[in-house]
Amino acid sequence: MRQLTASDLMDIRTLVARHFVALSVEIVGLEASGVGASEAQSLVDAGILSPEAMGALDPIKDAYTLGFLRRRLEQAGMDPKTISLDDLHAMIERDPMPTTNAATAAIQQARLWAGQHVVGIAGTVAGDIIRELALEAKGEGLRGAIGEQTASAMEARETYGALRTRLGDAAGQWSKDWLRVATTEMHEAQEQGYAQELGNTFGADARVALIPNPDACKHCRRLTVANGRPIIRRLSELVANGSNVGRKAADWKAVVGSIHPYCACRLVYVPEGMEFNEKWLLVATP
Amino acid sequence: MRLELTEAYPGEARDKASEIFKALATRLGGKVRVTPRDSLEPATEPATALTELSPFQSQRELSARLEAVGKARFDRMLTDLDRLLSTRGGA
Repeated sequence: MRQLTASDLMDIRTLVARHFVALSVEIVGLEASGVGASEAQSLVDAGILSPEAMGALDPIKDAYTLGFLRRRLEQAGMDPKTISLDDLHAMIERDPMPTTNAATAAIQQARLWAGQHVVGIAGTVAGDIIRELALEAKGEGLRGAIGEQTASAMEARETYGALRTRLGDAAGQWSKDWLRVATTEMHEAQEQGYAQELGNTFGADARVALIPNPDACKHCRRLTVANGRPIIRRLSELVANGSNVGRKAADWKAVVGSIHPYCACRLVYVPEGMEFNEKWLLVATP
Repeated sequence: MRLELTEAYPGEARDKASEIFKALATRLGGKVRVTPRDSLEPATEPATALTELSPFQSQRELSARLEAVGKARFDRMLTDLDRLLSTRGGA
């Protein structure tokens, strides 16, 4: 494999960037991806983006809506955990969620955030690809083991196949990277939707608690559990704590939404006169 | 005397029922225990797979669909990369 030229590097970076823009468009739509109509058309013309795929999934809105409807579903005797995506869509179609300005802004902000992060990963991925190609070109990859001078066309093809496999393996890591973003933002959106609905119903000082997952990290447990029971706070306190984005782990606070990437702590409403017992069940305060 | 309310946590209906139960229990001289159907007690099994991370079925389905979209995207990207390198004599 020959050395990569500056033109090659630029073309590879452009190719990867365009695919990540397309991925962002598929997930959060054109507007949140910051993609103009002409750029979108050029992606379609190049066969990189299918027109049908634009915004075909809207996981952020779905997550927010689920959060918003969570308490109502519980009140109606349904378990929001067991509702399928199709059922959720059917419910929204039958009884559309009120689109308040706050909800619209929250959903759009979460979409923008997710879209920017997905596009931002493209740089890392392009770097990975170029590094692998450069190693091959220097003969430090499998091609080097074969020997540049003796490599036949067939060997070169086999070597390239191995490179392709390695890049395919790397795609698993890329997938984890952007799914981390998507999953975190979906959780964030769902919690924001739930908090919005709680605030609408019970006011900013509603009593709430964050319930950590069984495999929660030490930071989440530190911030959500005291004396073996979930800490009960006011919703306004969590809202005032803002977001942990940009904070060091030691400075993380209990917030509405994700305490950190992949956080799965869930906000629950704690009615006045109730508290958690040692089994984390809500019981009337003696 | 122990009264259990098995409605899912938390909600206005349960709030109301809780008040009634409290008043009843006070008159009976007992204690009230309100037990959510969907326990908040932490489970012991760790959630490791991404698609199992959320306790919500709809979100797990969304994660699975996103994974599929990502896989299809990376496959296409690598195919385009193949094509690009082939035209440059790299492969």
